[in-house]
Amino acid sequence: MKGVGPRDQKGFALALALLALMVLAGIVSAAVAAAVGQVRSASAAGRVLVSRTKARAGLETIFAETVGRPASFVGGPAVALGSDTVPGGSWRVLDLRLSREFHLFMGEGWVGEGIPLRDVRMAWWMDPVFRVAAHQAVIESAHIHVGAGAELRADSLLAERPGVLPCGHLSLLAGAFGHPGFPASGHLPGPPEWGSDSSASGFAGIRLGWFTASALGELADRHLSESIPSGLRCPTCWLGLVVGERQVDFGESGGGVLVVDGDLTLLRGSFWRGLILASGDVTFRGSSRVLGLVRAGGSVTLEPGSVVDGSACAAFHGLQSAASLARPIPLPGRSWAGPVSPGIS
Amino acid sequence: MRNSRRTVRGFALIETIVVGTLLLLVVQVSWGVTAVQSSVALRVAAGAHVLDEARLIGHVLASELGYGGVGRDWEVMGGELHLRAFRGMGIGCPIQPSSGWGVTVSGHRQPDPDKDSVLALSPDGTWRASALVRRARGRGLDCPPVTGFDAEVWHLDPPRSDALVGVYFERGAYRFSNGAFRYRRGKSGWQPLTRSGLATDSSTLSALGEEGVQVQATWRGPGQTTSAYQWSVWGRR
Repeated sequence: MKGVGPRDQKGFALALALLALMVLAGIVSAAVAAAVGQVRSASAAGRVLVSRTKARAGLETIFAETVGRPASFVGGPAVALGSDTVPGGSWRVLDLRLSREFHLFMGEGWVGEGIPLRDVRMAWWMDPVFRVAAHQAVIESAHIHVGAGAELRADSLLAERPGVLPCGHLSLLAGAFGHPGFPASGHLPGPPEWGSDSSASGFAGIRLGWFTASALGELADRHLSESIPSGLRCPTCWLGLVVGERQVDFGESGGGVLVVDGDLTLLRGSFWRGLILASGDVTFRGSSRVLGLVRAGGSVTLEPGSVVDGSACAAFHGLQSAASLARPIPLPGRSWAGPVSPGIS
Repeated sequence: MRNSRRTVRGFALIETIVVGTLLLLVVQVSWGVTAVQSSVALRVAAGAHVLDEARLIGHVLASELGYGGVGRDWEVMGGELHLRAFRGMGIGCPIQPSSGWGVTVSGHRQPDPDKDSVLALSPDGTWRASALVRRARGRGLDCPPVTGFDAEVWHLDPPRSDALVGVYFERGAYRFSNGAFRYRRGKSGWQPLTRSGLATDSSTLSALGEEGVQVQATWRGPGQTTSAYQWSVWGRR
């Protein structure tokens, strides 16, 4: 038992302490490993979530804030619509124009120097030229009655008129209206130009492209009311988007886009220059006058003395005057497309 | 010196007994502590595993529902979520080839004629479905230059060569069964997406109003412990 002494006894205590430490270290390292794994996994998932949320937020921001006409063109490269960098991430939205009115918006969101995640949404952005060119007659309606002494003209659709510039230089309008024999009256077009079907619900009444009646009501520059006089007396002014409901008796004058979700009566002496859309019946009383195009879901009656002078240019300028309509909206129904891969170059 | 040696021998015996007893104690305590440590480590690992799987299920469902609409693209029937599982999209090229539809494509995976159908957006703004019959590389196609997209020619039935964009999808379904969260493509077998450990008798997928899915997931851990999570996943319009 030589060599057995107090030093060895101390060494035994050290071994005990080391053993205990090893066990404790095992517990701690297992917990730390699990926690670190969770933190890494959760932060990676968090970065993905933040990037995707940024991409979506960018798209929502663009839809909420963009006004005006698109800068992109069909067949051209994608155009940046907007971008922003805020603490926590950045986003950018690109606009790829697919046709006259359909656009693909691609939102990109990223965190720091990370790879952008992308989301795609289809947008509809009204093109006044395309909208007007879709008209197949000066008056489109379910039924039309032209009284004796009433005038319905379709002979100067592209010509200059008082307060209306010519528009024959626009090739789409020239192609649609520049030929002789353009009909003065015709049937209503079917969906998606007018009305609802299984692919597009919510357009049972008024429809202007992919704007529903409620959307037009929200975007209106002026509202007509049954009981309150409209107060519109500006034959030479473009008033933008003017919206009424139910039964509207219009006795004033103005220009732009007149939308009535119901029946419309133009009283004697009234005048409208531009586009008229009504879901119900439209009646033109004697000496009322319209310069432009008319589309009505019900019947149209021209009483003796009334005049509807077809003008694609007036309709075009009326649509252009409605600045509130110059904005992209998500394509109703299915607007999200994808998925697409992250934006790796 | 003799006495001294005897004392030393006696001390050595006592010492051996004490050391032996202490060693037994240490082994016992170590055994117990190791067992506890093992149990704690197992619980921690099991908890992390549950969180990973819950995150996975949440991510998968949110991604899948995000591209479709209830009734139109997905519905919950008998605890199973049946859906069009969108996997990517193609953007129509301005100049089209003589046959087929020239597109530039990106997605989570490449389109597969054996699995996929295509919803194509027509120029009038309506979506129409077609079968993806064949696809080929789109060498020489003049397509919009978008990062991460590659040109291809798709042959659809019925043809949609004037379409603006197309999204490709497979039919699939999700459910909890046989201890795991599972996916089934078409009529094929149910494949597990998680390890077994889910208490599938108390894990459910149910419709939540008109636009969402309620997920109730329960895991059985070591020692008959359970971890239960419930959350909602919403579709997008």
